[in-house]
Amino acid sequence: MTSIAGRLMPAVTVAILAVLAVLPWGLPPNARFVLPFLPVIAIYTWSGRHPDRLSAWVPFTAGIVVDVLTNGPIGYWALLYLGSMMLGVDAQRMSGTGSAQRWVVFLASLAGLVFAAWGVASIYHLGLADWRPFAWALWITALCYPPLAFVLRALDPEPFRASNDRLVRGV
Amino acid sequence: MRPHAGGVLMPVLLFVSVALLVLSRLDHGYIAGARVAIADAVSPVLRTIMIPLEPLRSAGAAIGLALERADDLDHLANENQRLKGWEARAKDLERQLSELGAVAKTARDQDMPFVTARVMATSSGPFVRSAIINAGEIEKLKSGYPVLAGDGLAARVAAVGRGVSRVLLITDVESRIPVFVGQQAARAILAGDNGPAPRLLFLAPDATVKAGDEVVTSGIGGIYPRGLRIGTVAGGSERPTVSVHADLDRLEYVSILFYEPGTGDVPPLEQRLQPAGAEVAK
Repeated sequence: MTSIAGRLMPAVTVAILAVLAVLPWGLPPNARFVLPFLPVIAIYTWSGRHPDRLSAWVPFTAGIVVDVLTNGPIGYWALLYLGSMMLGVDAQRMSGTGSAQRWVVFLASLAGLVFAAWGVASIYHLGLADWRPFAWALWITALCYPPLAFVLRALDPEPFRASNDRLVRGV
Repeated sequence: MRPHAGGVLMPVLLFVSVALLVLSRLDHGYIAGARVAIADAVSPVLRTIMIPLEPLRSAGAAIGLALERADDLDHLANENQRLKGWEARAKDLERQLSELGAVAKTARDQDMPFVTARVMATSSGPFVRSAIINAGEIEKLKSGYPVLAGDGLAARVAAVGRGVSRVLLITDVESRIPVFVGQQAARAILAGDNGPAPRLLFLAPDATVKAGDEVVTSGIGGIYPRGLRIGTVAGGSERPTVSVHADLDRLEYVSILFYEPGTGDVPPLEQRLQPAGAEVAK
């Protein structure tokens, strides 16, 4: 049976990272663009490990809050966070057990997500958006993934169980 | 069985997100209202979270600033020497101005009331340059009020909630400010482009603008009062940009002037209604 901490941990960590993403950290705007991508790591990780404990409402609400407080178009980060949730679930089936494999699969998923983010921004502006903040966000988020995913795994009160566990006879 | 992300809820929320994006693009009135309402609702959480994070945030900002400024030390030492020469010159001019003012019986610029507010959230990415501040209708703020940070104009109030407001930075792509440039007071429009240095547009063909010229608000149009410092001219004369005085990347506290757009010159202080909690800029 899942504990209360286990049920709440995904939503709590996503909410914390979303709030941290909008605080004034004293970074230039384009460098600051990496911050809203940090919740992507949490959403991706939790939706891969425990898809049943992360309601789609969590990334949607976190995205709306980030959209409002960064004064961006409403729906932008909600869309991307929902996308990262879908990628997390799908990537979990492809990832192996090794950290390097997980990181490579995350990098591929993130590249797709960042490209989609750039595409949506370009469509929104009806012109090609500046690609540099997106490239910056891609690499910094990729570098942040190993330590942040490690922390999230450490915070998981109930370790990940692979979906292809074999059933065993009880004693 | 293949795990599914969100079940039937996922496509519904994806559709809602896209619909909100479209409404946002169309600048629907509901969206503007929802922004302020949500920001108002979330502001207590932000205020609470900022307290324990303050040391970490300050340390991060200080490290970033130290790294950035380390390269500027030599430049600053030289500039300091030069400014010392200007200090004596400025004092002399101040004395002359005082004497001439007494002879001409001219009125001095009036003091202007203001409130100071804290920046709670900042924008990022390719969309806008704005910030959320922790002052709103309670502090009698209104849309259009100019916002100063440190040494110059930083923004103007774009939307006001009960306890929070959204301010649009002067580097935002939608920002347009009538300005005077240099000693000739050449007229121009300062236009943001979401980059760090806004551009000078519509300069008169015969205007001579050089790097280092001061750029101040002209007051034309009545949106801003006349004479607010903005920055200095940078870049080439063919495509002049402005290096703004306010450190827009590290906004922490800002001052909002109680200046009603469209009122032209600032009325004397004693003729204005002093908003509750307002201080007076000296």
